[in-house]
Amino acid sequence: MKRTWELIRFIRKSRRTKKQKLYKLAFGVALDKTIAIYLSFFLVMAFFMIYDQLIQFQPLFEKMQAAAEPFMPIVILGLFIRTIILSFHSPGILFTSAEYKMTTLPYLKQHVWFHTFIEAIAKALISFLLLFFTLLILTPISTLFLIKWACIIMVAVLLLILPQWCLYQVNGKKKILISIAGLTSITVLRLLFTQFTSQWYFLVSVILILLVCNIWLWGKRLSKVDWMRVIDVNDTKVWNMFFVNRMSEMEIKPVRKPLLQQLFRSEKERKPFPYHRDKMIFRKLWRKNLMEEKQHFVQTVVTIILCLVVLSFQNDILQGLSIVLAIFAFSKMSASYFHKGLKDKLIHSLPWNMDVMKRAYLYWIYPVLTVLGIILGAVLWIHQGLQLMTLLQFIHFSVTAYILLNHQLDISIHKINHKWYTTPIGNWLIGPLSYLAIMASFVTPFASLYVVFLFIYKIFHVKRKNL
Amino acid sequence: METLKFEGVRVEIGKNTILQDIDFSLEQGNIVALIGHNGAGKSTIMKTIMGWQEKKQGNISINGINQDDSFLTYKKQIAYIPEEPFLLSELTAMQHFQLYGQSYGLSEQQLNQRVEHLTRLFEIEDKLNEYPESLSKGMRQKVQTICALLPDVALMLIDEPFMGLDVHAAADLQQLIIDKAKNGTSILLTSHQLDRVGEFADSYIMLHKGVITEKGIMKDFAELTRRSTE
Repeated sequence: MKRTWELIRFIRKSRRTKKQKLYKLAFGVALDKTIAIYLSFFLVMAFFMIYDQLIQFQPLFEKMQAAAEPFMPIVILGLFIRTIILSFHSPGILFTSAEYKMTTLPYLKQHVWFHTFIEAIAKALISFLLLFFTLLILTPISTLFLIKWACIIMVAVLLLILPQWCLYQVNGKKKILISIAGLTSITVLRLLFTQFTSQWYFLVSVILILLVCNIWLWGKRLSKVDWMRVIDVNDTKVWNMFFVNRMSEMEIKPVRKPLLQQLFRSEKERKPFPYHRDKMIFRKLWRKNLMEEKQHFVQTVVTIILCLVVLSFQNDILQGLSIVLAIFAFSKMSASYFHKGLKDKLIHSLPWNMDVMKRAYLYWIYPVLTVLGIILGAVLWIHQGLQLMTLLQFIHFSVTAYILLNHQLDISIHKINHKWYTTPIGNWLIGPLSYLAIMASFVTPFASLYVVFLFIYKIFHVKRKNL
Repeated sequence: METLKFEGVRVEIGKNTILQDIDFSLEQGNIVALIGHNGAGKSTIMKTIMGWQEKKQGNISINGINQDDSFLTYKKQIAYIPEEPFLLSELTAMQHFQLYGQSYGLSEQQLNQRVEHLTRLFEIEDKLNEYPESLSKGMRQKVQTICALLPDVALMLIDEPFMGLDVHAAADLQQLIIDKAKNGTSILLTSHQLDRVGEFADSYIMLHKGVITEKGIMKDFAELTRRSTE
C-alpha cells in the first residue's frame, strides 16, 4: 500500500510539473509581464468591488436564507439527477492510463483504485471547504446556515461517488432502468416523508440508504469495469486544459463516442446508403462535424440574433450596421466550419467532390439562415411597418446573405484547391459593395434595387463556373 | 513514365528539419519500398504527399499534376492505407466503402462487385453493417485496407501494410499489391518487415535522418544497419 501511494504521488508530481510547464508556455503566449501586473491589479480591485457589492445585498441574502429551507430535499434530488447524468459521461474517479500502467507493474489494481477513490473524496472535500470559506468571507450568509447546508450536501456528494463509478460501468437499457428506478425510489421516499414537518427525517433516511448502497456496491466496485472507456474519458479530462487549448488552438477530444449515441443507433442507420443519392453520406458527415462544434456554433448564432435585435431598435444606422455584421459573421463562420470539416483525417484523405460536399453542407446551413431571415423580417416589420419598400429591403438583405454565404464557401474551396490562390479583385469587391448597399438602403430604400445587380452577378458567376 | 515526382522537398517542424531536399520519382507500375529506422522520415514523406504535412519548399506532382496548383485533381489519383486505421465512428464498414466509392466515382455495380470480392477475401463479409467500435483492431485495419483498394488510382501509398493483419490477410494483401502494380498503379510503401517487402518490391529508397542515403533495385539491398552505428 505504501509503495503504491508513493508511486501515485510521484505520478501526480510529474503531472503537475508537466501541466505547470504547459501553462507557463500558454501564459507566455497570452501575457507579458506588464499585462500580468495590470491584470493582477485589476483582479484585486475586482475582488474588493464584488465584496462591496455583495454587502449591499445583505437583506436579499437574509430573505434567501429564510426561503431556502424547504428546498433542501429538492437539492438532494438534484444531486441524484446530477450523478445519473454525469454517469453517462464520466466515471467520477480519476483512474487514468498512468494508474492503469501501474497495474501492469507489481502493484495491485485494488490498491491503485483505492487511492484514486480516496483522491476523489479528498478533492470533493477540499472543493467544498474552499467554497464554504469563500461564501463565508465574501457573502453575508450566516455561518450556521452555511455549515448546515454544506454538511448535508457534502455528505450526499461523497456518498454518491461510488454509485456514479458503478453506474458508469453499466451499459445499455440496464443503465436507463437503474437510473429510473433510483430516481423513482428517492421521489417516493420524499412523498412518504411529506407528512413530517421536519426535513431531517427525509435527509437522514437518504443518507442511511446511500450508506447501505455504498456498502453493497463496495464488493462490486472492480467487477465488470470497462477500463478502456474509463481511461479514455479520464485521460481527456486530465489533459483537456481550457486555457492551453485556446492558446495552442488544439483541442483534446475523447476518442470513443458517448454510450448513448451507440445505444440509440437504429437498424436503419446501419443500412447502406442509397448509392445514387450522393449527398446523403456527406450530410451525415457534416451533421457529425457540426454537432462536434455545436457549442460555438450556437453561441455565434445567438450572438448574431442578439446583435440583430438589440441594435435594430436603436436607430437606422445601427440597424444597417447590425445587418451587415450579421451577414458578415454568419458567412465567415459558415466558411470556417466548412474548411475545418475538411481537415478530418479520413475526409482529408479522400478526393472531394466539392459540389456535392458544398450542397450537403448547405443542407444544414440553409435552415439556420432561414431562421435568421425570419428574425430579420420580423425586426424590419416591427421597425418600419409593412410597406412595399420594407419588402424590397428584406429581399435585398436575404439575397445578399445567400450570395455572400455561397461566395465565402467558393473562396474556401479555391483556397483548398490552389495553394497560392488570391481572390480576384472583382470577386473580392462584391462583399464591401454589398455591405455599402445595405447601409445605403437605410438612407434611401431605392438602394435596395442593388439586388438586381446581385442577380446579374450570380447568373454571370454560375455561367462562368459551368464553362 | 513517371507517376510520382518528389522534387527538392524540405519539411521543417519548428526548428527541426525532418526532410532535407528529398528528390525521387516513381515509375508507372513500380513498387518502391521506403526503408529506414524509426524517425528517418518515411511517414513524413507519406503525410507530405497526402497534403497533411506542410512542406517548406519543393514540388510534388502525380502524372504532371502539381499538389499546390490543383489539389482536388491531384488527390483523385491517390489512395492511402495508413499504419493505424482511422475510421469514422458514425459510419458502418459498408458505409465507409460507399464513401470511398462515391468519392472516387465508382459506379454502384463496380463498388458492389469489388466490396463482395474483397470482403470475402479478407473474411469480413459478415461485418458490413458493423460500426468501427464493435470491430477488432485487425478488422478495422482490413476495412481501411479495402477502402483504399476499391478505386483504380495512379498511386497507392501504404504505411506498414501488414501491421495488424493475420497471416492469410497479409498474404492476400501482398498479392493484391502485386496485381495493382501489374495494372499500372505505382506503389510507395513503408515497412519494417524487410524480408517480406523484399519478395515483391522492385526498388527501395533508404532514408536516414531525413536524407536519402541509398537507392536501388530491391535485390541489391544488403541490410539495414543499426541506427546507432550510422
